[in-house]
Amino acid sequence: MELVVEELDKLKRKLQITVPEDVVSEKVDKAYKELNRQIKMPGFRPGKIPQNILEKQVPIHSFTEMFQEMMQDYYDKALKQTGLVPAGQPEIENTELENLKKNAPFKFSVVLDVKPTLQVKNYKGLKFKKQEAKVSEEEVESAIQSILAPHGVVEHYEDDDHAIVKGDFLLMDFEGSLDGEPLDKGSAKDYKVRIGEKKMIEGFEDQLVGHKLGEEFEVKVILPSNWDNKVRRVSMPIPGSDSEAEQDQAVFKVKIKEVRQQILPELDDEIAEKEGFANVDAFRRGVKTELQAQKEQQEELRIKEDIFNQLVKDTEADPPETLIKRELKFMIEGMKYQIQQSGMKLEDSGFEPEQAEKEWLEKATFNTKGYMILEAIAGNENIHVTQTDLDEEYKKLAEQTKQKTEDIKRGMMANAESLSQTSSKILGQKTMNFLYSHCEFEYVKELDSQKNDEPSQ
Amino acid sequence: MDVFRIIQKPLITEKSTALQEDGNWLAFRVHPDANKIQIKAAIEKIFDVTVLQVNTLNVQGKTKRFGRNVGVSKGWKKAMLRLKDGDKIEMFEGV
Repeated sequence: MELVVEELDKLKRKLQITVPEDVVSEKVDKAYKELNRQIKMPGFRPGKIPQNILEKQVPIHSFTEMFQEMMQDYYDKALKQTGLVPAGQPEIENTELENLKKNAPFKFSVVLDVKPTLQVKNYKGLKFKKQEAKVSEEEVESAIQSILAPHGVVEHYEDDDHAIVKGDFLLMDFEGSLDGEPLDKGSAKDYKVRIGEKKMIEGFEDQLVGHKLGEEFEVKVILPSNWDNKVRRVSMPIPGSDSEAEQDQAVFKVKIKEVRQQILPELDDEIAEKEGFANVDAFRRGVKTELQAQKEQQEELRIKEDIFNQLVKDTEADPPETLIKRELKFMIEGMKYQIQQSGMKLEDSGFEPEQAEKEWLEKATFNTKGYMILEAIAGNENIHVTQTDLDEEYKKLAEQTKQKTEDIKRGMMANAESLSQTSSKILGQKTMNFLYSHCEFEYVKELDSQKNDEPSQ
Repeated sequence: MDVFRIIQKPLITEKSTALQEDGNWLAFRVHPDANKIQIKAAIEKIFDVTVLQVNTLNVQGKTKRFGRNVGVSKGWKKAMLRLKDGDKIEMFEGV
């Protein structure tokens, strides 16, 4: 095998690989022999067709697949020989697939990105402040309330004169209009709403407070810009006039038909038992520990994010382009999936992949760099993804997507890219756990400043 | 007789390809009434080659049964031709 390595870039290599003639002709001969047995030709017994006749009948182009396999083979060999570690998918260039010959060396070249060797220092014993998970009585109380809610009953007010307060359940009719015209999708009969859940247009629910049963009145709200999933006109504020806001102001005629309140039951042993606890005290303790565990987990996630950010900041690395592109693609696909899951159509959501590609480039670069660092650490610390890890991940995925574990597994096995994506994800998690367990923590009651970074994992 | 009525089709089979390599023999299915002289002339005219020798034989039809009915398939004439060394017909170099 002849091999020429060309350095196109710091991280780009071009491999020119030549497969020698005897290997090519041997492979082609073998392929024809294989074909000979399968093909039927009048005048010949199967397997007895002379090769020169077969070659005329079946052109060598039919073996493109074999040549591709050969390319893969020699590409792997070339990698081994040069010791290069590819990042992302290699690009195959000017192959001779159009112009195959049986008795000639086969040449092709591959352009690939190289994974840069990373030196990650000081990743053990990072110092972080860890907030103590402290659960206040109020938090426990509100958690208990929300657990009690299903056990409670919703009842009419005894006195019809009751003014609506937050938390009441209403049944009402309303008719919306905009500039005197009926508003599309702005009317409803027997609409049920609970004040304070903020399911309606902003400001609507607030204006209901204080009214009474049977009253008819008007509510004026400014329509949100994404009303009816359509982006409304872009309003340019005109200095000195505030009339522009009124144009979007919709008027809803509201009639209150029913006002009900929720009555929570007293917490007693019976309810505690229903929730799976022995008595009220155990119930309270259970809720508290659960909240505490939640908080601790949140804190762990926050610290892990900090670790990730800090590592990326402290390490010099140039992530190769293909990896960034892959990450970008992954992010965009994820976003699309989320949009579809939420029941919206892609066209209506206002999500534009092209724009996102530009906007997320920095983020993708950042993430890619982080993944590379994690990978490097994993290499240093001998962290590997085992089959058990993969199986667990399949199980988790199966639960999330409500599919069978076997189906997920088969789907993963069939798609090499998603398999590698999954295993690198698991590797990242494992490495993260490793880093987390090797951090030094300083326990504090309260953090000085809350960080509001976007989650990066 | 028209040359293309005399020469009906080339016979490319295991046996004929083996004979071709052996002594530049080619096989054709020809018109049953054509004689060796006509066959030689036709081949030389169509393919522009020199024919050294022509052997002919009649292939007997096979008896074929369709249930109770017994029939005979048509017989035909085969011609074996030897070409001068180095002469060749493109059709036989793989179809």
